[in-house]
Amino acid sequence: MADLVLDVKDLRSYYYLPSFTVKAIDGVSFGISKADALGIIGESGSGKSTIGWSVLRALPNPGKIVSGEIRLDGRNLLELDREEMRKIRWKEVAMVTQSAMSSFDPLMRIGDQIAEAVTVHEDIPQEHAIERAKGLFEEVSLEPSRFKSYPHELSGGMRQRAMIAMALACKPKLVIADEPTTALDVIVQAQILRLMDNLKSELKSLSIMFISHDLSVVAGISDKILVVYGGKMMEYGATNEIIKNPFHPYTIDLVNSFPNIEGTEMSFESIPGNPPDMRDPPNGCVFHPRCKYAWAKCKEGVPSWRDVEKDHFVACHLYEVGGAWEHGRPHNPS
Amino acid sequence: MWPKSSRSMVTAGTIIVVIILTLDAYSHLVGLDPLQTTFQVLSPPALDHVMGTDQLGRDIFSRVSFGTTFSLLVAFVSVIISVGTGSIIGALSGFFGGKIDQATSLLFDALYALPALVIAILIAAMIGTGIVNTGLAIAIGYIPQYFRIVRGIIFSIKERPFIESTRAIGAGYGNLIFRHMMPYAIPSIIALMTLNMGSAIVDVSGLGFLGLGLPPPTPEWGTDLGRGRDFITAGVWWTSTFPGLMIVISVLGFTLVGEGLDEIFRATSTRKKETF
Amino acid sequence: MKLRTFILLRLLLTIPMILILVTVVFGIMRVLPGDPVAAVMGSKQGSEQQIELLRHELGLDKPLYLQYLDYVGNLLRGDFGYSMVRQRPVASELADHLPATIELTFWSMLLAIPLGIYSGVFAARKAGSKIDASIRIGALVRWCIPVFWFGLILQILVVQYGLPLPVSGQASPQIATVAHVTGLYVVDAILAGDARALVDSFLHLALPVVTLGTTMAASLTKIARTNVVDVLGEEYIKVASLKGCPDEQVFQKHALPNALIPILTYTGLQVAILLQGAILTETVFAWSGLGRLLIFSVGFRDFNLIQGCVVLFALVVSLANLIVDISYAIVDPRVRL
Repeated sequence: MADLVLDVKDLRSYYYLPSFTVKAIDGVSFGISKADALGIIGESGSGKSTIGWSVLRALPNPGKIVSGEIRLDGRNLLELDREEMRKIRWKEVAMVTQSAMSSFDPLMRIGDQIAEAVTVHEDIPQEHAIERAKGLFEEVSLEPSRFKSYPHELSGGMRQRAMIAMALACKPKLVIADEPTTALDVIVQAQILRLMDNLKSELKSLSIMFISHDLSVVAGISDKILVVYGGKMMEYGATNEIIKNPFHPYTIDLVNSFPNIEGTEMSFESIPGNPPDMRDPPNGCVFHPRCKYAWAKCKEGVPSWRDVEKDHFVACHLYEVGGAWEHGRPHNPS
Repeated sequence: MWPKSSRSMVTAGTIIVVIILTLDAYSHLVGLDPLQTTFQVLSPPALDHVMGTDQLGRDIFSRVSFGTTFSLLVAFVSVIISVGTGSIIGALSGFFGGKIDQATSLLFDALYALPALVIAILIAAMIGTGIVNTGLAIAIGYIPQYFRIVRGIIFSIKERPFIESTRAIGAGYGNLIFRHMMPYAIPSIIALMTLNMGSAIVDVSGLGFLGLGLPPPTPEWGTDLGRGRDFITAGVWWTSTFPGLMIVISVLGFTLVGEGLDEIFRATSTRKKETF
Repeated sequence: MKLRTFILLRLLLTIPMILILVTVVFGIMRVLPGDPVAAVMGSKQGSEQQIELLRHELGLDKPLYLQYLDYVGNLLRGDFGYSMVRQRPVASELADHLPATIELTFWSMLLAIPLGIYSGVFAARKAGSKIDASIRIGALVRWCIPVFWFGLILQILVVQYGLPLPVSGQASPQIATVAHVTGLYVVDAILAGDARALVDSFLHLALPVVTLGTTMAASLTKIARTNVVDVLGEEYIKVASLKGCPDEQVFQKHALPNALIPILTYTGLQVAILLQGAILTETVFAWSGLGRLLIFSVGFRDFNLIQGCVVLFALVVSLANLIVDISYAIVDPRVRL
């Protein structure tokens, strides 16, 4: 296996609220290789954002990382103290969040905020940091005249670009993008995605963790896809594989629920039911209440994570002994 | 975390207000006489006069308990007047918008510059004292606040789809504004009203202290406090201390409730979405 | 829009606002029942002629709108009318009493602003802790104490415990009167190089300033705390610490400016409340400022003087609001848009 920039093993992060505990992620393991892009896809409440926050050890208040390992280039981030972690943040792992609107200090000029990202980690004079920031501005195709603008003077798309520029300021190994395009209209969304794709090709050592609920967006940019649901992993594989040959019933539904603009006429499919109540998740397989193919075993035990094909993993009882798809998935499951 | 502290504030405040009202009721029921003059002039607190007597030999405890009625009544009158006037004008102005709204807003923005007490002093100086007069004088100063809040809320929900659809059904303006839109302002209004009770009580006693409050021999906290000033240098402290204490306690009660409510309403309306 | 444009527009806006205030005051004074002539006459009985003469002198026989125009015209020339009771131009009375109020409010603000804001910010940083609760409760209780009662209690304590603090007035009669250059006792004492007078002025300022200052501080504590708590929950604060900024830097560079600058908007309102408090404080401590003048004129039904005081109050607050609005625009780039 290629060198893993990020190696997450059995991560569990819970939110401890006064009356109940939400098991936002409950046993998630994956790896991201150098210069690779992993797309994490899930509904809201699936825990996907929690994964990103956990890697940065920046869970909002009642949240705690309960167990597991998060290794960045071999180093377990969970063993670091506050100061060490602070040095890692942004310098090695940066984040691009959904709300670029509110992610910038309204009283500071955009350029200065990007430069701040540099000066916090590197001991270089302010002018050099400004130069670096201006360079980043160019890289994300922002007009240099906007460098001295205030956040409220920029459009949504521009702010998102600025966020990306800021994330790249310290040349991190990994950028976690948490729903970076959700708040944007489709055209701007496409621009941002194209930008991210270009950056990925240009900056050969950059790995990306792309978190979204939108499969079409994730598929465009990721090399590998991880499907999460109810805090657990459902399926993992190369993007092409997942799209063309989905194994998990949830993934199948996801793939089918997006209309293919080139394809033949199809009826719209949606996934019936509601996301699980994370205060009291279902027994057995967390997806079974909404699964078309659920059978007896699904209510009882949690399915194990197996590679049904090479480098293509799934957690589903259908593929286990006694399951309907034990020897292979039917060609066109409806 | 917040709801808990605000809940205890509301509870504590309500308890205090209830205690004061009970004291007030007690004074009426038991038949304490705040006007009875005696020869025991300016005597310090003792068993027969728990809070001492004033310069006319009247029992301060009676005056202070009885005085609750007046202070609270005038404060209440003024709050009602300002809420009613301010809210209605604010709702109409916010709803109809345009030049009238701009002019009205300018008017009330300017009025903000005149502190409530100054207006009250002015009006009290002109129209004299009395429960309604004093209530009115104080009310004027608080109208801009209600105007602003209600106008703001009406403005913000004016464009919402459900308003359009209600209009499409054929609802008249009155119906639309007061039955469908005003309810959204009610939480803020209630919190503000309670807080204003506290401020109004302070203003009533302020006017009384300045000699512009209810006419003597009405037992009013501020007036008694003001008259009691004359004897401080002689070492008579109880004439001013006890009425003032009552002011603080009653204001504290209402303010606790108001602040608590305010926090609760703010917390429930601006609940940020948590995405996991 | 550019800052210059904003300042210009804001300055222009002041004119209609002041006009409205003056009109409202005029309206209240003229429209509400109460006869100025009767007030001036007092208990004196006068003949029909004398009453008519007085009425003519006061300009009360003209139609209302003419009286109004006269009044506004005079104001523009600095003529606030004539005080029947003091037998002097109102403007002179105002000028005599204004410095005392300025001195009182200045020192009170000097106490209130650091005290209030620092305790509010401190409490916010330790939100949820016992010390936060104590500060909140303390500020709340202090807010509920009427300013005049607080002053009275201070006076009572000084008298009861025989403390060497003056309980009234701006200066002791024993101290040789320092030349009144500015009317500000502290400044005048410094200008005259009179150390005893300086100390005396400060001693006299002590109780009133503590009274008025702590009253204002109580509201500032609450406002500052709320603002800081709100700002600390904002996304960009999270992002700043995510960027790797150390906590102190996040707080001082990002949180504080965003939290404290909106407090500026409250300052305008606070000046109005401060002046209101000054009226009461001056009455308690026999401080010869505008507040005391106002109450005096109300007692004597000197309408021109009453009107003059209130108009001056309104002008001062409008000026304060103007300065605040402009400062805010300078400091917060979002406002000018």
